[in-house]
Parts: sequence; C-alpha cells; structure tokens
Amino acid sequence: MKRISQWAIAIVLLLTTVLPVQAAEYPYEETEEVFLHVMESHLSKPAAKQLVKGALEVVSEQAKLKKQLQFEVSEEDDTWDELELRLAEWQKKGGFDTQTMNTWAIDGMISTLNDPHSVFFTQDELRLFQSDVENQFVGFGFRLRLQNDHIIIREIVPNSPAAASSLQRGDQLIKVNETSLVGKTFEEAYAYLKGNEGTEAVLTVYRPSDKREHQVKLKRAFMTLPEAEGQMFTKGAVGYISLETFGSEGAIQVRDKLADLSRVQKPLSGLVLDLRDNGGGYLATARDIASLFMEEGLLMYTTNRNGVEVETWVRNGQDIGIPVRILVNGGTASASELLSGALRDHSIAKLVGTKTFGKGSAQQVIPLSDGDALKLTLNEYFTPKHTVVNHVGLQPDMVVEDYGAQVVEALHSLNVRTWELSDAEGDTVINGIPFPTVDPLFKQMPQGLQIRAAVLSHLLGDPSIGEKDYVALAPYLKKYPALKLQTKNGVNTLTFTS
Amino acid sequence: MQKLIRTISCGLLTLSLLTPGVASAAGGLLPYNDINKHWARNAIIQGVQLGLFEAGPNVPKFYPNRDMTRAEFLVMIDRLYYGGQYQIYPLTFLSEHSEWARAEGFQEPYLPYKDVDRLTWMYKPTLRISTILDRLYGPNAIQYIFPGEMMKPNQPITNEEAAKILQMFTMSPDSKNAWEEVRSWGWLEGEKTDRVKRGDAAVAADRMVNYFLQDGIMPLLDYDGKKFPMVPDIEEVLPLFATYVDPKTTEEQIYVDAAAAIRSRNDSEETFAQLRKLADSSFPNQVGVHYLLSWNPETPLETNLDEAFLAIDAYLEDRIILPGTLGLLTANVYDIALQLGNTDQSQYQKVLDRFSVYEQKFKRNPKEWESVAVYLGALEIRGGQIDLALARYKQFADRSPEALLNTSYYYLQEGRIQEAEEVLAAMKPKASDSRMKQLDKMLRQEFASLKDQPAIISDLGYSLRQLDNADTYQVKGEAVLSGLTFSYTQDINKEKQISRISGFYQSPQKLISDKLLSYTDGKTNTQYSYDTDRQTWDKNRTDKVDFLHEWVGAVKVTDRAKELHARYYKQSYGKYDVITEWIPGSMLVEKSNKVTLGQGKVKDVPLFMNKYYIDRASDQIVKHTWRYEEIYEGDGYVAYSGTDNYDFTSNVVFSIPDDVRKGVAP
Repeated sequence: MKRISQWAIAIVLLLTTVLPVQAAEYPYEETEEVFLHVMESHLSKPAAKQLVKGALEVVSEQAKLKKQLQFEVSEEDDTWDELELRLAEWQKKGGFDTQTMNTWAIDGMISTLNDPHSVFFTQDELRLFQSDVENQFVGFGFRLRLQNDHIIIREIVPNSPAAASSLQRGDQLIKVNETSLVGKTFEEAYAYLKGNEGTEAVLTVYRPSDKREHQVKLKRAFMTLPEAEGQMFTKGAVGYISLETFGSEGAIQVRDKLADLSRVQKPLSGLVLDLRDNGGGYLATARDIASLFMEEGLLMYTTNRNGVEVETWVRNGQDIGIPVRILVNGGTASASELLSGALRDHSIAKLVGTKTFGKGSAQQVIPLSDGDALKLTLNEYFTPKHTVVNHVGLQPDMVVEDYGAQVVEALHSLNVRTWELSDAEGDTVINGIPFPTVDPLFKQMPQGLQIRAAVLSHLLGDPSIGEKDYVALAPYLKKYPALKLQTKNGVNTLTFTS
Repeated sequence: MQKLIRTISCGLLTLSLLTPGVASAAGGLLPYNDINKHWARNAIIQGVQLGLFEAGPNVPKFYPNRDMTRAEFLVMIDRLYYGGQYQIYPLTFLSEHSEWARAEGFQEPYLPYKDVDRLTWMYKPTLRISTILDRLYGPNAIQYIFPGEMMKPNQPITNEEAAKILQMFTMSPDSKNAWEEVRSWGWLEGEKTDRVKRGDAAVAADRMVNYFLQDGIMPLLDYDGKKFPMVPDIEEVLPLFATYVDPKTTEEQIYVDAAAAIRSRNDSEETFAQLRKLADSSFPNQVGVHYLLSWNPETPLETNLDEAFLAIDAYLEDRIILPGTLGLLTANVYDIALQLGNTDQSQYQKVLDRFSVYEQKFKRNPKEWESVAVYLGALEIRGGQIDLALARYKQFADRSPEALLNTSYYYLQEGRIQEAEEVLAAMKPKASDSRMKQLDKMLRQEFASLKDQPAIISDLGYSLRQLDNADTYQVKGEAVLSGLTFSYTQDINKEKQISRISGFYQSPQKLISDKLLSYTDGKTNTQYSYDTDRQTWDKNRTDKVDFLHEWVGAVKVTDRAKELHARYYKQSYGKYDVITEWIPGSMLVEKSNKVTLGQGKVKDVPLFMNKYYIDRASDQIVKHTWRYEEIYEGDGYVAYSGTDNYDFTSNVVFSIPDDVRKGVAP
C-alpha cells in the first residue's frame, strides 16, 4: 500500500549533495532572509508584492526625510529580484550604507504584516528580550513607584546591590549622581538609573522616618528575579501566587510555592493566581504550570497558515482540588491568556479582573545569519473550547476594574469572610499581602477619611457604593456594624466580618 | 587512506564510557560515610563513578540497607541504559536518545499513572524507561510491571518487579519467567517477593555493567552486515612496543615523537622520513618503527603492507613470545589487506599466501598461533574460502570468543546448524572466563530461537494475513522520512479498495508544518494527494514501486525468510507477542536488483528492521515499528522509520469525493 512515500520522492536526500556556497559579501542577505522567512511562514500568508512595496515605501520615506530624495515606489515591483535591484539603485543614488538599507527594508516589510509581535531584533535587542522573559535585569535591585510626585523605593530585591546597602523600602529617590529626579516622570527616572553591568552611581535618597537625606554608592549588577512569588493570606486558608513571566524557571517556582503554601496551611481552601501584567513567555512553561492544576486535559489548539491544527495536551499532572481564581487585566497576555483560558475551560479556575490583552498568537525567534534575529508569528492558538483569543482577549467571569478590588472580589468568591485592609508605603494590604495599587486605599480629606469606592463596594458586596474614586468612610462604618476602623501610629486599618 | 584499524577500535569508545575510571576507588575518601564496612561497598563506589548514584557534600549517606523504592530503581536503570543501550539496540532500534526529540504538535509519550507527575525528579527517567518498554514489548508495557493507575513510586520494589525491568537487557523470550531469568544471570539474589535493598541494587548494576562489556544479545545477528567475520577489539592501536624512560636517547626521542604525532594525527612527511632513518639504523625497536611506517598515508598500500610484514619479521628476530603484540601486528596486515581487497578481491589470497610462511613459525606456540589465526580465518572468509576458515576456527573455538562466533555464524550461513551446535556443546568454559560463559549462554539461547524460526514465521504470516483480510481499519502513525516528520491517520476500506491519509508533516527546512491529505483508489491504482502550496490535487500511480521498502512490504513473510534470509525473534510480554524481523542488506541488494524500482538500483541497505506487536488474544497486529535505510545508485539516500498503531474497531466511513477525482481545488 502506498502511503507517505509519495511525499518522499521529492526529498530523497543525496549523499553527494554539496550545499551551494553563498556568495561572499552579499549586501542584502539579511533582508532576503527576512523576506523568505516571512513569505514562507508568517501566519498571514503575505504576498510578495506586499512585502516588496512595504520595504520600498519605508526606504523611500527615509530617503526623503534624510536627504530630501524623491524615490517613486513602482507598482510593477513585486518580486524579490526587483526589490533587490531597486535597493541597489537607491542605495547608490542616496549614498546610504548597506546596514541602513537593510534596516529600512526589513522594517518596511514587517510593518506591512500588521502584527506587533513580529519583530526584528539586533543582537543586543535579542539579549534584552530573552532576559526579559527570564526576569533578568541589570540594575541596582529595587523597584520604584511614583506617589504624590515622589519616586519611592517600593521593593528591594533580595541579594541585590540595593539589599546590601543601607537603602530602605519607602526611601524617596532624589538624585542619581548629580542629576535631580525631583519632578521627573517615571520614564525619565528610569533612563537616569539604567546603565551597564558593573557601572556605579551615587544615589541620594530622603528617608521620611528620620527626615534626613542619605547617600549610597551602588554598582549595577546582573540579577535574576524570581518569576513566582507567593504567600498565605492571613485570613481564611487561601494562598496567593503571583507569576511575573513564563520563563524557564517559572513552572518549578510555582510548583515550589504551591508546596510551601500547602505545608504552611493544610488544607488550602482556595488559591489566587495573579497573572496581571504578565506578558507571557514560553509555551512549555505554561503547559508545565497547567500540569500543577490538572491531571490531564487539552491545553490548546494551534493552527498555522497551512490550515494544520494540532492539539497540545497536558498529561501526568495533578488536579489541584481547590477553587482557583486568576487575576487578569489588560497586561495579561499570550502564555498568561493561554493558561487562564485553559484552566477556565476545564472549570478549574474563574477569571477576575478586566479583559485580557488578546495576544492569541505564538512566535518563534529565528536566528539570522549575522547574529540578529527575527521574532515571527507562526501560529494562532485557541482555548480548549475553541475560544478565539487573538485581538479579542478573554472576558473575565467577574469583571472588576480596580486593582485592589480585584483581589477583594477574588477572595470574596473564595468565601473569605474575615478581612483586614490597610495602607503601607502606598501599597494596599489585603489580609496581610501588600498589592502595589496606583492609588492609596485611604485618603485623608478635611471632611474626614475617604476610601477607594471600588474596594469598599466589593468588600461589603454593596454595589450602591459604585466603583468611582473615593467615598467617605464614616457613613458605612455606621451602616455596617461589622466594619471597623482602627488607627494606630497614623496607620488606618479596616476590619470586616461578613 | 584512513586506517580501518582506527574504526575497528571505535567500538571500544562506547564501552570505555562504562569502564570505571582509574581513580583510586578503594583507597582515600569514600563517596558516602555509611558504606565503609558494607558488603556492597565496591559496587556502590563503582556506581558513583559511573554516575548511577548521586554523591557529594549534600548526599552524605547511601543507606545501603534501606529498601530501594520503585522510582529510585527506575532512575538507576535509566542511567544504566545510557551505557547498555547498544546492547539491546537490535531489539529497540532506538538510536541514542533520538526518540525524545519531536517536532511540534507530535504526540509526546506520557505515563499511564496518576501519581507520577511531570514536575518531579522521577518523571523523565520513568517516562524514558516506559518508552523503551513500549518499544520492546508493546503499548503500555510498564503496566505489566506496575499495574493500575497508581505506580506507587515510593513503595519498595520487589525482586520480581525489578526483574521484569532488568529483563529488557536480556533477549528474554517470555516475561513469565522474568525472575528466573534474571536470577540465572546472577544479577539479583533471594526470593521473588524479597524487597530489593539499595545495596542489592548497586550490586545488580555492577554485575550488569560487566554484562554490557561482553558480547551483546544475539551474538550471531549481523543486522547491518558489518559484524562478521569477527576479529578481536584492539584496545591500544598505537602502542610504543617498548618502554622508554627519561632521559631518552636522541633516537628514542625521535621514535616517541613520531608515534605521538601519528596518534594525534599530526603526522607529516617529516615524521615518516625520520622513522625511515631509524629503520636504517641500529635502533633496537624495529617492530615499532616498521609498524609506524605502515601507517604512512602518502605511500602506496603495497608499501605499507611490506612494512607491516617487516614489523612481523622484526618480531621474529626479537625471539620473544608476545601473543598480544603479534595479534596487533597481524591485525595491521589484515587491516591493509582489507583496504587492498576493497578494490581487488584476489588480494586476500595474495596476502594469505604471503602469510603462510609465517604461520608455520607460529605453530610452535598455540597462543601465538591463535592470535594470528583469528585474522587469517577472517581473510579466508573474505576470500570466499569458508570451509578453510571453519576448519581453522574450530581448532580454538572453545578458547577464543571470535573463533567461536565465527564458527557458529558461518556454519549457520552454510545451513549446518547441527555442526554449529556440536561445537557449542563441546565447550566447557571456565567459571572464571566471564566472556566465554556469557557467550555460551547467549549462543544457546540464539540457537533455540533459530530453531523456532518456522513457528515464528507462521505466526507472523497469520497475523499479517488477518490484517490483509480486514474489511476496514484505521492506522494512526508517526514517521520520519529523510528528515521529514509525519503524523497521520490512515483509513482503509479493503472492500471498496480505497484509503485515505490525513495529517500533517514537517520539513526540517521549514518552520511550520504542512497538511497531509491523500486518497488512494486501488481499483484504478491512483493516488490523489493534495498540494497545499499550489492548492491542487496531484495524481500518482500506485502500481509503480519506487522504494525498496515498498517492494519488501509486498513480499510474503515465508519468502522474506526463504529468499531474503530474514531473521525473526519472538518475545512474549504481558498480553503481546512481539516479533522482530531483520533482513540482511546484502540479500536485499541482490534480490531487489531483479525488479525495477522507481528510485533506481539499490546499492546498499545499511539497516532493514521491523517490529510487529501482536495481541495474543486476537492474533491481530496492533502496532508496527520499522527502521529502514536505503542507498540507491546515484547516491540517493532514504532513511525511513516510524510506528503505526492499528485500530480494527473504529468506524471507518469515507469515500473519495468527486471533486478530488476531478482535481478540483477546494
């Protein structure tokens, strides 16, 4: 019986075949490589004409911008050979260097794909992208927040240069070397702080507790931050795990956190998995993490431009056996959406928060011959129930806008009945776990203490409070006897039993 | 010209991975602080050196008297498999760990248990062992060892459970006797139900490593046509033939440097010019000088052969009996003769004639004669004088493994199995000679299996006919064809003579997979295959045989055995009978040249093996695994391997759409 041999006839390998030797110093090699990869593999199956036109349009625009040259993009140009000839012609006329021409042409081709996830990387950009996925950074080892126009150290990374110094959580950053950060935006501050591994800077901070300025000299270091963090909420037997990225250690770290939580508290009554602002990472990690929640099941369908649909299964996992709430928001993308969608379709988890990003596509990083790389979209994926994710996002089961209220709602739905909420260093602390909310929980106004409306609304289960900004707390303390406010050393703590 | 002798000794490299290092295991620091007085101490130390057991500052104790758990045992066996995989390659067809590398979308193997999770230390080793067992014995074979949906990985393992795993390293014909068989090899001791202590396991591993270092299972199976005639492995291909201590004389230094240069492949014309000067001088080590001169890649082979003989002359002149040295010098002659004979068969006889003068001189000492005779017999075989070789080898078959193997193999080739068995029956290997003892046991097993051939052929023929007679069935398969990976489902309707294949394939040159869709109409001998690039239906004839494996596939089992000299082996494990088939490449080349293949004449067939898994209750084939390598004239090369799973119960309903027949693009 003839089977697949038919396909083989065309590909019988020749033992004597010698690969053709690439002509040396071929100027547009990189552009051609990108052209071929995109033509052959990009999900959208673009036509050659589209890419050629895109490349030439960008070169033409840039030539006009840089040297006021008028290059007409011809409708006739729709093959690689024509593109190549045109590039050579324009390069000569414009006197641009080859690398510039390649960059423009590649940018032009990729821009026609209408796909923000297909990206050309230089070697340095590639390294940056990879360390991002692995949660690796070069820096001093603290995280900042902008609060009341002050840049404040929100968190100090363990084992970092900052941790080894006298810097403290809550310090206000005033100067980097001689540059003042007062009144600067977050992005500006970041630009002054970043630098190469091993370089030094003198930081000046103001410490509110002793009302003094302190100076420290720090060296920037390469750090790998944990991908997963976790702890128990102090009320109810609910665990909390947050995952920042799906790097290569993500699954093991989630596994270990889960084991830690189960050791502290047995049995757990629920778990909150925080995937907010988690932009994704490796598919393999998502699958391994899924195996910590389900014994066996479909993770996703993947399709490509050839209409091939394959299933990816989770096998040899473990049912988690407790209700799970996944916190999601507009920054929850890609692998995060994949995991959220799968766990929801299998009725393992419910999603709390806002609509997710909507990146239902998968990319592969393709190395190019000179060390640069192309991140190219090859596949689209769908959840086990064939829900489309791409450009759409996942609609949460419980839609909650406010960052703090999302946590409250998740805990509510896990039957948490006792509560303790407070502010600390600008974080909102909910049952013992601090969350980096943009706005503080409380606001002291002349007419009395105010509280984030959304948080109070979800805490009391009282939709009449609304979700906008702040409301005065006093009337609700009266209305709900179980709601109590304590103020100690200037810290307001709200307790509630429902 | 590349010296063959180098490639001959390559086999040793894989073995040396298992040979314990010279590191002073006995003296000095022990890897654990609780084994000093333990009876399994040396085996444990050896295990650490081989990487079977973790050691280091975080692992201070071995706990040799504790029960070994199932998971621990599986991890140990997984590590042991790295060293022992070549031993059972003829039965697994698994090369290195290629089976773990899969293209995206292809089904990953997984475990039939609920209590061994992916993200645990035991998962990957357990999965690997399970995959190997599946390959050897059929679907879910590990269930025969640990039945049920729980593997209970932390439960102590018993002798019998361990034996069912260890049995994969023997050519065991029946899983029912796993414990008796493993005990007869001496790997484990005690009773079936005894728990295996960690110390016992270390000792078993130690004994198995020794077993791996000997001849493999099925010593007479020559599936790639490269094994026979067999000559001894050479451990040191470029010795100095003398010991030199500092300070060396100028001549000694020149000699030692030349040998080092050749050894590290840094030799030049100058190297050999220097050696030539030594040859003309009174430098005493003329054996070494001429031996090295025979390695000159610039001189004609005839000259090298002269040098090889001159080295033997020098050996005789020294009047010291060193059978090992003489063996190497003869191996050198044999090696050059093989290169000469490559182009001109008559060279073998010429070299033999030239050697006959020498042979007389070595008759004085049996050890010397044997070390020479083993090569002379091989030359006789290459020259087509099998009877002469047999007469020669029979004389020392009870002492030399190579002589015994060559005797047995060539008797079998001549169809004289009884004489082969007589040679074996007359053997009385010494208890201390572990290699001969093992060989004796292996050969007895192999002769038994050879007698079993007609029964196996009949069983396989019956099951294959059943497959042919099935009305409808479905095949789910994965295959690798010249680098392309395929995943497909094939629906077959015998009554209507139609079949359909759907699935996808992935080219190694491409980033994404492509659709696989084709219909075959047996009545018109047409195959319609879809081309996704061009979005067209292509028509092909199916009555044309393009590849060797297609031609062999149509040959009946009885004819494969009779005409193609196929060898069969049957193993029963759990609910399956597994029949492995090997067809020698030389026969395939010879017979296939009588038919016309689309790919052209077959030039060489390095590998041709099949494995059929038959459900004993229904006699139905449930799975077929294959591995073929075919080289055609014009150097076309096809490597094809894969696994098909058969399902006779699935509801196969389809027809060939008219649009497909008309070639209408969808």
